[in-house]
Amino acid sequence: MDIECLKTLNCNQGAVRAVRFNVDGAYCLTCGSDKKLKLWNPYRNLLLKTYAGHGNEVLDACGSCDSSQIVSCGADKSVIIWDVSSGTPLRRLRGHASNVTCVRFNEESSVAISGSLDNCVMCWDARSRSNEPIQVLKEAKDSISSIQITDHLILTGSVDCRIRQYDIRTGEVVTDFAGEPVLSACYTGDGQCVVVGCADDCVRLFDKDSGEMLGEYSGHKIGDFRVESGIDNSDGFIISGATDGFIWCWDLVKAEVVAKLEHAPGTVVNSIHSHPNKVGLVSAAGPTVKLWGKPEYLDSD
Amino acid sequence: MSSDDEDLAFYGTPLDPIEEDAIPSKKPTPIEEQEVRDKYGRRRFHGAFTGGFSAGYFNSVGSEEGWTPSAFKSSRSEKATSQFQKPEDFMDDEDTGEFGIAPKVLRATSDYKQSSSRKRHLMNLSTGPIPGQPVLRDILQPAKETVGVRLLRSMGWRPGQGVGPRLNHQQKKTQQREIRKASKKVYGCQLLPQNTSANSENDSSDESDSELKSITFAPDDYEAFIVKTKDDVFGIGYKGLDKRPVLSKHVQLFEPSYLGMQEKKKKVAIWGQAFGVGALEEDDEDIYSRDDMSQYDFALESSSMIAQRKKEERALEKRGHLALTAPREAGAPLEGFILGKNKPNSQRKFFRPPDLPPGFKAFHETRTSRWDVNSKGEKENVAKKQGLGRHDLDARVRGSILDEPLPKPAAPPTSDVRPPVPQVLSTSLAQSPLMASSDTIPLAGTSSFRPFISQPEKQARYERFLELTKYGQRDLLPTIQPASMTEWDKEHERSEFEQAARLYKPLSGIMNDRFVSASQSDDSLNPLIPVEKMKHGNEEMRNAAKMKLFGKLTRTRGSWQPCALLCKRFNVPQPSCLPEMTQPGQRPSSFSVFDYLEASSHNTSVEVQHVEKEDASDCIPTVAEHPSSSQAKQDKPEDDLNEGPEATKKVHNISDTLARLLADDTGKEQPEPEEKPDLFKAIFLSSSEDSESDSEDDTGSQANTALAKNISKEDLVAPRNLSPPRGIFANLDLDALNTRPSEKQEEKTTVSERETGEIHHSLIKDDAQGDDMMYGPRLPTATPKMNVPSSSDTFKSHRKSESALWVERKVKSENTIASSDSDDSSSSGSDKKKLSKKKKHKKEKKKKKDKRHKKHKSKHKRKS
Repeated sequence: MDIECLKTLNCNQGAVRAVRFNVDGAYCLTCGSDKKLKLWNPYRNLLLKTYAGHGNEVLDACGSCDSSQIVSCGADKSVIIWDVSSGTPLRRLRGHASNVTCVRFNEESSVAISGSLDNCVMCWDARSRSNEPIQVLKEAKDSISSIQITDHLILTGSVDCRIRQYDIRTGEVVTDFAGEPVLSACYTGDGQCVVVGCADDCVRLFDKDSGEMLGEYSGHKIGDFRVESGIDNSDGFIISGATDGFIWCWDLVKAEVVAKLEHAPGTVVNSIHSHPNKVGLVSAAGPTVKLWGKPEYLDSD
Repeated sequence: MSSDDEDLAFYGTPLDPIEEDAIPSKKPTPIEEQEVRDKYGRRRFHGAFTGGFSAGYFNSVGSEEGWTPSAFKSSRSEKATSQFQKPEDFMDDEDTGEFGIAPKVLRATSDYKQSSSRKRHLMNLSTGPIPGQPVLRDILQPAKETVGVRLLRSMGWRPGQGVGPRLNHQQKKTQQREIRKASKKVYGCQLLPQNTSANSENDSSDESDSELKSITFAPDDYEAFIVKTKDDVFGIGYKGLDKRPVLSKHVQLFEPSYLGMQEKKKKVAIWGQAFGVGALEEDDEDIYSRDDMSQYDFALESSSMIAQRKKEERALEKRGHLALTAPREAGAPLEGFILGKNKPNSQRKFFRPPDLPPGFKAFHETRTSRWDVNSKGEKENVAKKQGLGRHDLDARVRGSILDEPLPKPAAPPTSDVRPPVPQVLSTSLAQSPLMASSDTIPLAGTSSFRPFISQPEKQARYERFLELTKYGQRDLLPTIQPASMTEWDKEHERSEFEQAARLYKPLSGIMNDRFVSASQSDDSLNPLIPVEKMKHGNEEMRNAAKMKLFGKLTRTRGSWQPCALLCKRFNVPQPSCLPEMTQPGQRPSSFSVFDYLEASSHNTSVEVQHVEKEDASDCIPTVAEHPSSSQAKQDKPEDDLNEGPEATKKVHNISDTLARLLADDTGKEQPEPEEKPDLFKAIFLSSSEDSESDSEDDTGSQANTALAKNISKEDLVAPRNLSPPRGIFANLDLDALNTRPSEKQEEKTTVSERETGEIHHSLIKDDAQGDDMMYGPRLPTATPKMNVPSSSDTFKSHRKSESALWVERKVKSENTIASSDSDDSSSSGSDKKKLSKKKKHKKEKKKKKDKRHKKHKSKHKRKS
């Protein structure tokens, strides 16, 4: 995994709770504990916009498919849909009973789906003006830690040790017991496997269809932190944050540690997000965000 | 009617219709709207109701205050002359006008007005019964002055003069003196008349007598002395506290208040009227205090000197007192005094304090509990005694209290008691080394409490009694009791011992079995103590996860109902319809915390799962027929939360065993159920894609045909919804629909099929002749006759069997056309955009991955 640190953003917004690429990986969003959401061009270390309006820490964000809107959620129990260019909140969706931990748009950005500490997943219509969720999924027995949406699947990871795949086409929900509280769950690039970050210092790879475990990636420590893990764009490496300030990368097949990217030793790398098209990622630890990739990315952008 | 109208003729021009506004309201203006106006038509009164007084700028004079301020005049030239402001300076012309407060018009005073008005009065004829001028007005005129005054005046009296015969100068002076004298208040004895002063006055006035004799003066007027009756019981001249509330009265600050308070060495003198300070409050510093001579010292004496002098005085007084009390020793009483007959009653009577009961202790010893042995008390033998009071008294003690002669010491000491203890006991004691010395060491059970400790002998007997009871030889008690005791005493003691043994067992005895020690420590209230982690999943799942046997054991499948809008937004057809859930009005209108607290078992999704379970059991035969019924096994609801009724579980067990038996035949290969293809893909993607998606669609239609087979069976088994149709089904004639099952079937199959119907068509024809190996649905004509069920249950089972069939096809496809990349379509389902670009790359990758999967699986199997 031959990537290096390209840029370091000092976000100056308290602890960065989450960092996310936009749909094409040209920009990134940082969610700060100072109630601000910031939009960056990470390749040029350029702050483009600050979105203020949350009543508490911003915990997650996601850009829409046309990059015209941003949906963010926070500890103020609200989900906010922002207009990117004007920086004003278009909709403020209040329905959760507790911290909203994760939020995603669907592929067409017509629905925003949020998961919360109140064990609920709520689907919000981004196109209507209704302030009520169009559907609430209450299957989880503990707080929702992550959500991913594909064209017809909603994948949720929950602290009740389960990942759930809601299939909208068939109306079926497939629940897999992971054995440990799930901190993050995402599909691999080919959509056949699920990468599940568990709270027992282990990242597991499950087969999507059978629910069998295909690999286990361990060695790092995450302590009691909510540390994200994922898979890189090439589907070759499992990546995960850690409490030692490194980003750990494992080979997907061999399950060996192939690289440890040094973010900031001593801090906790809590949020990572891989580039949607290229091999590369952004990571957040404390107040800093780092962009990792190949040097030519800087030239092209 | 119309002809009648034509017959009517109109003359003249009709008046304009009166509008409502034109009619003047006959309502008189209410009082609050009436206004008083002055002669210029300006508003006269301005009150709070109209926004306050606004006379100033608005309608009177040119100043804010409402009057013309006196113009500025330089007072430089007349500094010395004091300037006065008269009330008239603050009045405007209305006030000084004829009807104002201070009219400046010249007119006759009221004295002359009535009688001497020269003007001819207008004859105002009365409208009353008596015509002409009112009679009573002349008769009854209001009196201006009393008759006495008028009489006096006619006699030459003027106001301000006294009444009486005229006096000369001399007489007047004496009268004045008398009046002055009378005004002085003299209490007590009348002083002697002052002759001397009268004489001197006479002398001084002699000179002018001759001149002033002819002039007479009116006597001086004087105030009649009105005697107030004394209506209280206070002393003369004392004014008590005013009964009226303080604030109702005008408070005179600079007059001496009626309340005063003076503190002089424990003596507090209070006088006058209270104002502002409560009885128990400390008085504020009296800012209006007047200096009084009493507050000054009149001698240069220090306080010690005063004290000494007082002592001396007291000594003198005492001596005097002694002289009074003992006249013989001190000699004769003082002159003018006689000895009193009654002796002063100086001797106080003292009563003896009550006798304290013996053994009374003047301090109280607190014990924390009833069973507590006072550690302090153990040091002192006396203080050590405890137990109940009724045990305290011994015959000897009682005797000593009653002053009875001491009884003979018939009761020997405890050492003497021992011989009569039978051999049985001693042997039993010898057996247990602990018990051997039990008379010195208290028993384990009774160590904490010794009820008879005040009587060591009795206590010793008690302890031995306890021993005996322990060995079941309670009857031997009389043998250890002293011979001096009577039978009744013995029996009494025995019952006492028994009661004590029953009562005074330590907690470990009686209470132990009633209480359970706390399972949680007291720290459970401490929020900082780490909480035990909640365990999720059932035991089976946890074990499986621990052994890394993820897959069948850890997977549960349920159904959920994506709402219509969600499906629409995802561009996905709604999977199946439960009428209750698809109704748009079903969304909860408001959210409350209770929604989240609601138990999950109340969720509709779980109910749906129950329904599904039953369906699954219904379609056992179909599932079992297929070799890959391991899928059916997966369908088994393993979630601990989905506790279905026992009956369904049983059915499941049967189906499971069946499935397992059949699964062995198919081998261990876990087939991958494929997703249904996307609509878009089926229609819009390139031809190479089409072939793949077609094959997918075929599976769906195949499933439908298989379903069609089964439905007739299911119809018999499945519980039919007999309730009257509701919701969108309310107006449907289901029976009518049932008569045309083949057409209806078309409609009820998935929308995707309908959409892609044309693509199917050619395939369907092939299929018609085909065997089981062929893809695609059979011709609709081939479907057996069947009833379309009205309940949602069949839809469910429909879907179930569908998935089962998918599996079958998959297996077959893998067996028959192993080289086909039919997998790819399902894998790429998630990412439409990437699809075309990455297709080739993906195929390779997928193959790799399949290999990897197999590798992992084999690894796990080895492990397990």
